[in-house]
Amino acid sequence: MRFETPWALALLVAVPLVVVLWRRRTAEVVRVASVLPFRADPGAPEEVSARRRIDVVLVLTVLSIAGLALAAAGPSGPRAPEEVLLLADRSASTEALDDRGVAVGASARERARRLVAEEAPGAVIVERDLDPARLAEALAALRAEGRPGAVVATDGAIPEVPGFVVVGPDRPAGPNAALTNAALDGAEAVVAVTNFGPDALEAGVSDGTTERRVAVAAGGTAEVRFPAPPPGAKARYALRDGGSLARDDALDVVRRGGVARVRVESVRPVPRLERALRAATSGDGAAGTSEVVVRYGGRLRRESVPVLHVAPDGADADAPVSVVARSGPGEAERTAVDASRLAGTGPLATALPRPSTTLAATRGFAGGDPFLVADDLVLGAKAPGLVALAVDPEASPDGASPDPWFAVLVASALDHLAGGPDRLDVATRDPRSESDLPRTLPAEPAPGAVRACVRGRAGSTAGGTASPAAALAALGAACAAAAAWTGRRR
Amino acid sequence: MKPLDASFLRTLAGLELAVRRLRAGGGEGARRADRRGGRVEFADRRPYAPGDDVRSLDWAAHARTGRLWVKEYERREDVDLLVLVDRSASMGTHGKIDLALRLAWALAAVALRADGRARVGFLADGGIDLSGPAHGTPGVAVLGRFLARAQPQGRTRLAASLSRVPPARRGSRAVVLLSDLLSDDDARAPLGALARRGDEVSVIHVVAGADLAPDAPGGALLEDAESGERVVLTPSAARRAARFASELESAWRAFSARHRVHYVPVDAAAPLDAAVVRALRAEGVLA
Repeated sequence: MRFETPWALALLVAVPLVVVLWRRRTAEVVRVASVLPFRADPGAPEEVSARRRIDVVLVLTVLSIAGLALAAAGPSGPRAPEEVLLLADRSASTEALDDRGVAVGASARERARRLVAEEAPGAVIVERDLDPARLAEALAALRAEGRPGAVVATDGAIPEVPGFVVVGPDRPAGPNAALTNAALDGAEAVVAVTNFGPDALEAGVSDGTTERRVAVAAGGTAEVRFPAPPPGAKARYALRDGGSLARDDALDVVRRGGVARVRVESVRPVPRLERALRAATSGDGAAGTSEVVVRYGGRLRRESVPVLHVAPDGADADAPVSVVARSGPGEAERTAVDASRLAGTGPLATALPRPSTTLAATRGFAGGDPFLVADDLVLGAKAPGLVALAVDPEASPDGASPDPWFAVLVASALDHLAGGPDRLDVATRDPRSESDLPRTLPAEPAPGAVRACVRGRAGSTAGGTASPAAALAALGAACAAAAAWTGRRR
Repeated sequence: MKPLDASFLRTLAGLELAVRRLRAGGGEGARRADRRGGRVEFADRRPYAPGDDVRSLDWAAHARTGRLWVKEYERREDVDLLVLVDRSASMGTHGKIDLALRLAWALAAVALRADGRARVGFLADGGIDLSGPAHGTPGVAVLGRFLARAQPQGRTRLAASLSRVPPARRGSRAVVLLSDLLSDDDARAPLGALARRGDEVSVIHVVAGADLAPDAPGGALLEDAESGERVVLTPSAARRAARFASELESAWRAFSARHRVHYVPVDAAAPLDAAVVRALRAEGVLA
């Protein structure tokens, strides 16, 4: 055990001093009329000289002085080993290989370890992953742990942050190309190939059955077309000779959306709805086959908020949409707005109109053009392969007080069930920035910078337990309190 | 011994010793006995009850009323007072001896001013040191001088000392013991014997609180004023002493009730004034 302030041990001299003073004090002889009442056994004299009783107050006082003196001396247990935190960037780009075939991330980590070994020999390296996009959180955690800093191993430059010592790889990654996107164009899938390298390249792209060659200029993007996968099917496109990063050379897609027909049913026959369906589908109507069926059977609750509803103004698909706001019975204000300004597509909760804002209707119909069967008060949208209709079975045939909430409900339900437009969704894809490999390495850390990141030099103990000084101080204080309490009881 | 102050003496002026049991055959005097009987002075008559002495029948009343009546008498006797002061070394602490001596003197003065006889005596080391009998007002000064020479020393052996108390020579006697009752032996047996012999026994317990709760730090040595024995003052010892005090008083109160002995605890730190007199009257020592 070592002491930070050994001179404080001189306070231990007080212990024998207290004992001497105590003995002198307690050796005081008080003359009393008779010791008869004080004897344990009135019949037998008490032995007083052969074996004195242990004085609890004296013992507690001595313990408290000794504890406080030792605490003041600042004892410290076995010193904890020095520690350096190494934050390792594990982003996708760190998997890129340099011209030796070594991953730049691994190269940076190895370099960081070497630096720590040189500048803080014997220090234990505590390694954690770092998300470069969340530097602020990493820094906050660092401060919370009381660490003076950390060594960051990464493949690219990161913002200069006090406390972070950035160590990069000793060589940059090689040139890279990637499959960056896939989209549906009619019956074809269009795959984008981007060249992030400094030189033009020619690469092969395959959909598993066919490989097509494509030339891509430096920093440019080229397209390769393949037959689109069937609705609901998955496809995988692969890039050959894609450069130093392998994980962006493949693209998994799935074809979603594009429901051909949606039918809305109510709990009871709604002739208006059926007429609208027939009109919208050229007679195919309600009797036709539908891929998605929305059944409406409950009652909608009317709200007291200002009423908004959408009514396309005329049958022209290009005409602006008029929004009718009703703040009360008989009061209405009609405003013509562009259909694209309407919002609220999505789940019902977000699609419900906010007071004094626009109402989602047209965009909820998966991109179809809104139309109105004016005579029947049916709200709908029509797009290639899609018919969406909304009619409130509770609304009166004369159109009085139409309920806009119903339209929103149906629009949201359609959007959810129909799955949106016919499209290719990319299943897994890293951010484009991960493929654009850095060509500039982080600056070399200043000499001695790593040393400033070392923790555990003073005041710490192995195992992270409470310091002996605090424990001794607490013991001393407790003994002092107990001595005072016991003394008062006498 | 400090002299008795004038106001206290005035307090004593109208008092007399209360004596319940007086022996028959004593000489006539100014003191009226509580017990009725004898043939000294007619006091009252009451209806005859079986067991009454037929010599007490009031035949004249029988002749007048046709019923049997018994005459009652009271007789007036001198008071013979014996005041015994514990003069052991334990009484020398906390002013106990001073209170005891002054109170003894005061009681003797009460008896002497009522034309009685009084003696005082010191008890210590199992012995007894008695003054001569004093009579009348001049005897007050005589007994005062005797008491003034008391020096607390020796051990308290009340039982041994009390066993040496001489019997009353004639008539009834009041015996008053003034002590802290911290005795090595049990004084109750000889006192009970005195009471059975007809003495009117009073025990004035001179209590000093500091005897049982000394002003000493924990761990101090307590030295017995008489034996020199030492005991360490521990919390348990202090608790034992407090318990001892209550048990001692309870035992003496039980004894006094059983033997018709007056027991009066008096605080040694309290002034000797009307409060002490009230306590003595309340316990029947004074009337």
